[in-house]
Amino acid sequence: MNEERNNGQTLLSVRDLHVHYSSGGEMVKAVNGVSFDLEQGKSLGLVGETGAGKTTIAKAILQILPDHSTKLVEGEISFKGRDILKISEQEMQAVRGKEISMVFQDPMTALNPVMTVGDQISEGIWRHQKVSKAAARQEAIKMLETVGISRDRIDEYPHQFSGGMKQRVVIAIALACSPELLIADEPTTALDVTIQAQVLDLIKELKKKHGTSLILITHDLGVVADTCDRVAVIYAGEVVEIGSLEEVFDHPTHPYTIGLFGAIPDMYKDVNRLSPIAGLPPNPAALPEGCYFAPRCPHATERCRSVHSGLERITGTHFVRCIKNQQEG
Amino acid sequence: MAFLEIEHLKKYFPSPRGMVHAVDDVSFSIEKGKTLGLVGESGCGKSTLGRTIIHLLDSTDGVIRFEGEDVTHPNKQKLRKLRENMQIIFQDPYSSLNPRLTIQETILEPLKLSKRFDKDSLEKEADRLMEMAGIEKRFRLSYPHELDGGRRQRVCIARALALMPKFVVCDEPVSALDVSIQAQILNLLMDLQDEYGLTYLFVTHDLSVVRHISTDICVMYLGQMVETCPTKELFAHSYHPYTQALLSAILTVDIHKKKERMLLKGEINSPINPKPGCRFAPRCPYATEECHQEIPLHEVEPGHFVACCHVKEINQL
Repeated sequence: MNEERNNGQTLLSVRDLHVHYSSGGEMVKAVNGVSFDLEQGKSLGLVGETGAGKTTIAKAILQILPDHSTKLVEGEISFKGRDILKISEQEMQAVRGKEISMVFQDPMTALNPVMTVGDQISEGIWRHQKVSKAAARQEAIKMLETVGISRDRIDEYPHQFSGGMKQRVVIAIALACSPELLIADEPTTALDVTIQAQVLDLIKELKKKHGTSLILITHDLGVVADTCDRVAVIYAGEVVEIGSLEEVFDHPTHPYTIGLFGAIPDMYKDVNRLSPIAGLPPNPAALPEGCYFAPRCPHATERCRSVHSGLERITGTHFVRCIKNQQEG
Repeated sequence: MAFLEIEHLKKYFPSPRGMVHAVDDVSFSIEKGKTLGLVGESGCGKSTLGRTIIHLLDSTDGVIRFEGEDVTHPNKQKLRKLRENMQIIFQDPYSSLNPRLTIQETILEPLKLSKRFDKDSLEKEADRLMEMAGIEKRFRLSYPHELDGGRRQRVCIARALALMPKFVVCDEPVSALDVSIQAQILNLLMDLQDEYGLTYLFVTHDLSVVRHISTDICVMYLGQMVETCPTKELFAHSYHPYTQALLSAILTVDIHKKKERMLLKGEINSPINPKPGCRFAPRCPYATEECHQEIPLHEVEPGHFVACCHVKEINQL
C-alpha cells in the first residue's frame, strides 16, 4: 500500500479557493484564492496566526463550514481527480471520515462526553465499512492499541482520560477507516511538550505505516519542521509563501515569513531583543488594497500599497507573493 | 539578604479523594532585579506557587520572606501594603479584565484605591501608564472586547504596574498570544524591568520563552522542584532526567539540527496523596528501587541543584 501511494501522484489539488462568510453584518473574506497541491504520502504544513484562515481552508475541504453564515465557497478542490466541491452532500458523506478525516485542536470538545470511546471509534467503522457492530468493536480495539492505549479502557468515557490520551482517541477515530488524507488542525496545541512529542511521533509513525497524506495546520514553526515535507505560509487568507521545508526554512523570503522566524525566541541562540512584527493582522472584513501585509511590512513601498502581487516562483518549488522579491529577482 | 525568599513552602488542597499536594516543600530565593523562570507542565503546581507567594492563596506551611521581612501571615493592613509591592499578570487577558470597565477605568482603579494621587493628577497618571505599556490614547474609552489579545495584555501590564510594585508574578503572560504579538509583550516586559528595576517570577511551560527572559530557572514536577540553576547553565547541561526529557521534547525551527528525542512513557500521575520518593520515577527510564526514598535537592555543581539519586551515574559526574 505504501508504495502504491508513494508514487508522487497528486492526491489533493486546491485551486483558487475563496471562502466568504458573514459575521455581525460584515462580509468576512476568510480565504482569498488559495492554491496548493499535496502528493500522496506527503505532508503539508499550513502555518499562520489566529484568523489567517487556516482552519477555514480545512473546513472547506471537508465541507463542514456552517451553512447559515457561509456566503461563498468558490474554486476547485480536486481529490483523487474528482472536484469534491461539485459532488452532492450524500456523496461527500462517503468521503468524509473514510477517505478524508480530521483531527481537531481541542480534544476536550471534539469527543462526545456521553459515549464511550469504543463506541466513538467504531461508529465510523461500521458506517463506512458495512461490517457488523461486533467486528467494528474488534477493529476499534485494534485502533486503540495502535495509538498506545490499553484495550481494557475501551468502555470508558472521555472524562476518564487525560488530555494527551483524549487526543490519541481523536486520532484513533480519524484513522479508523485508514483515510488517504488526514487533516490535523493544531493537534498538539492544547498539550504539554512531552505529550506533544508523543502525539507527533505517533502521527508520523502512522503516516509511514499506512502511507496517509497529511495536512497539518499549526502556528508553531517547530511542529512544521518536525513533521512536514512542504510548508505553506498563510496570511489574511492567502498563501504568501510556499515551498519544500528546506526552501522555506533555509531561505524564508516573504517579509512575513522572515518576521515569523524573527519573533520566536531561539532555544540555541542568545538574542537580547526579539524582533516582533509591528502592528496587527488586517481585518478580513476590510482588507487593504495592494499587498495585505504592506501595512506591517518594513520594506513596503507605494507600489506595494496599490498592486496586489501574484504568487511567483523564485527557485525550484519555492513560490513567494511579494513584488519586491520579484523585482530583485 | 535575598529580595524574596521562600522556604519549605507547601500548598495543599482538600479534595474528595484526598489531599492534593499542589506545591510540596519548595524553597528558593530571587535577587532584586532578576527574573526567576518557573517551568513545568500543566498541573505541576507552578501557577499555584506563584499565587501562594503573592497571597492570592494562603500557604499550608512554610515561610515567605519579602525584603528580609517574614510576610507568611500578614494582617489585613500589612497585606494591603504588600499588594502594592507584589502584583500579578495572568495568562488570559480575555478573562482577567472587567468587561464593563473602560481601559482608563481599569487602570485608574488601583490608582484611586491607593489614595496616592489627587483628582487632577489621576488621569494624567493613567495616561502615563498607558503610554508606558504602549497602548494608544485612542483606546482610553474603549472596552476590553474592542481590543485584541496583545493590547489587552498591555492593559493588564499597565494595571499591574500602576502602583510601581517591586515584584511581579507573570503567570504565562504570553501563552495565549500569537508569536508576533508574543515577541512584542516579551520585549515590553524586559524594557520595563530595565527601567524600573522590577523583579519577576516568570511562570511558563515554554522553555524557549524562559530561556529568553530569565536569569535563573526552577524546573517543577508534580509540586516539587527537580532542578534549579542559572539559565545558561541549564541549557548548557541539565542533569535531571525530567529536565532532559523536557528539553529534548522542544521542537526547533532549525531543520538541520536533528536531535535525539527522549520520549517519556505515560503521563503525569496524580498529585493526590503522592507516594514518597521521586515523583518522576514512574516515567523515568533510569528509575530503580532506590528512587522510592525521599530525595532532597542537593548541589551537584556550584549553584546547580538537582533532586535525583542517580544524578551522578546518569551524567557520569
